[in-house]
Amino acid sequence: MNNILALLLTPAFGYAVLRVTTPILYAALGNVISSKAGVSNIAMEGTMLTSSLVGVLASAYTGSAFIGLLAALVVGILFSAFMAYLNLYLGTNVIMAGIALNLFASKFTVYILYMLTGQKGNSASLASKQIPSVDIPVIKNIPVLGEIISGHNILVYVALLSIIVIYIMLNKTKLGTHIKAVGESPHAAASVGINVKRVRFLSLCLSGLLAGFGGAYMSMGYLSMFTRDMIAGRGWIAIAAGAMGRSMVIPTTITSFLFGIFSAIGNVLQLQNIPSELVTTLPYVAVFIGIIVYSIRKTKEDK
Amino acid sequence: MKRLTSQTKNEVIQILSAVVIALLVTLLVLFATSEEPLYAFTRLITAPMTKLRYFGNVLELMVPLAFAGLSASLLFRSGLFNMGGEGIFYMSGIVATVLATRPMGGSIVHSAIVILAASVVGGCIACISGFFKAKYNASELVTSLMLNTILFGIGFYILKTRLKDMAVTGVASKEFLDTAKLTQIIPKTGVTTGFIILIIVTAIIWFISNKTKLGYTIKITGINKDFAKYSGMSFFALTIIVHFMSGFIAGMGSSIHLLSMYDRFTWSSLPGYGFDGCLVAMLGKNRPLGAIVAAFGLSYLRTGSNIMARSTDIPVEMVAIVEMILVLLITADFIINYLKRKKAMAGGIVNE
Repeated sequence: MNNILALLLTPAFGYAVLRVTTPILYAALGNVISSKAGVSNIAMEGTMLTSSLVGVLASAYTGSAFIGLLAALVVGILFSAFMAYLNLYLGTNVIMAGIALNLFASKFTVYILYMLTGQKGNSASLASKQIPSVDIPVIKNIPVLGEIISGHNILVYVALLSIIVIYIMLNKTKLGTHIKAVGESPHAAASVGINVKRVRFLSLCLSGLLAGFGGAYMSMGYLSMFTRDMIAGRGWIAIAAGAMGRSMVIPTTITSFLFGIFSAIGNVLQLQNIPSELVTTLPYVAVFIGIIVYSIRKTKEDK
Repeated sequence: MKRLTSQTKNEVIQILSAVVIALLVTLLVLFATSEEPLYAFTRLITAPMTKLRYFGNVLELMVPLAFAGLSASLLFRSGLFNMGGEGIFYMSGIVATVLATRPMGGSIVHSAIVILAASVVGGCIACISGFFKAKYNASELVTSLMLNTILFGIGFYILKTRLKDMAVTGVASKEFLDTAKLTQIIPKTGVTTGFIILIIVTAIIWFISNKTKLGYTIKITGINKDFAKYSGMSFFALTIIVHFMSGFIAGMGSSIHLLSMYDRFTWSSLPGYGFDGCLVAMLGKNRPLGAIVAAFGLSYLRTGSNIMARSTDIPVEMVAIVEMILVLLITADFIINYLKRKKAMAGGIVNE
């Protein structure tokens, strides 16, 4: 037990938390934007998965990690735009569309991978590029803090930066005001001349962009290849984080980190003599308990 | 009555056009990616009908899909988006394995005990998400998805530590006893008495959905949550009942599938039937009879694509494209809306 505690109190654990939280954070922030506009994008899982495959493919065929990232982002946006079109213009229930697209992405990525590489499990045969990691000057020399914060993948810092950008976007810009107006009362927003469908379409595309970042990070940063169903529920964990953070940027960020910590603990415990089948469920148990505790408290407050 | 027939007619046109469009796109994809597109297409579409064994494959795969679809459609119909069928299939499978590997009475009694226990456990598991949804409005979508992974972790742990047969390589339970297994009704296939149970269960669900107050309340609540109040049944009671029924059916589907098709429990990952059930429910427009037709269609498509994948250069996952086009065209309203508008412009009566 002391052994495990000692492992959790190292700078390496702090480093792991940042690393593990990043994809959850991207998806959770994406969820915040779409929820603010009043449409819940539950296709985060499928969007990230598709983007992670596209990132690997594009970087392998062009030899450029940057083009890989760009392709992942574009596909993230297109994927969400498709869902937005289905929901806003063709009248498909947004939850139904999300469920269908998630299931589709899971198989379709395997299909594309097989057509291009002849493999169904992973993209190890492709020479895909990785997005580089960077050391932060000055901070990297500070003991402990430097070990935790410095030396991460660029996309980890982009994720941290996007917390601030999205906070400003939602609270200080016209677009943010429109998004919130549409989410809180679409009829009132429409009556003052805001195009409700267009704002919702845009918010879903933005959430797709963030999912694209998350996907690219998974296959070009967290791991160095695409593997089948590699998102493994992170999109859903992010949706839980968004719900518990009441779709507000800062609380959602905090819950994302909370779930990131549990995932990191799970990873540490796996190396110990504890059955790995049980340990891998730890982040999901944390989300399950978290969402229930949150709901109970909210019900009591509402009374 | 006239309204009903007109609505049915529109839906038939919608489903038929969805199938035609999906097949056309499939053909395009095959032409773009395959060396022998026409051969692959004919294998996909006609192969399941060429041999009794292949058709048997369609029916045996249809059973778990139909149970999962019935389970999901009950939930979706009442506006509850629970996707926990996956975890229930696994956990009920573990329960079924525990009982099916131990001697327990004669043939029918043993099967009945196994199926009933797996079903009740399934119902209880579903009620976990149901309870927190009903009482505290916790998102059943999120809790059920988390439970899938948690239940798999626990189930797989039980399989590895308690049920594993040390005599075989790989993770597998001891053999199911012959008294537990279901009797074949088409020789040399996995089509068993389970298929008959499926028909009976579907009839019961159809009756509940269309002929009872509970069914009416489920339908109305799906359209507007507040309506449940006026029907005299609380939202709490309705949510729990629907979740229990849904989990019960999923657990039944899992155990029947295992007792029909397997000699041992060998699932080392989630089986996928729970998620497929969501597709079946959507394809069947959340109706019991729709689920049966959709399960047959999906099973036919999957069997066809399996045969195709064995004899051509196309992987079985290609079927995902066909499935998604079907689901999207059937869940979107635009074909129906187009038909209504056309009728309105021709001077007919507009529905609703």
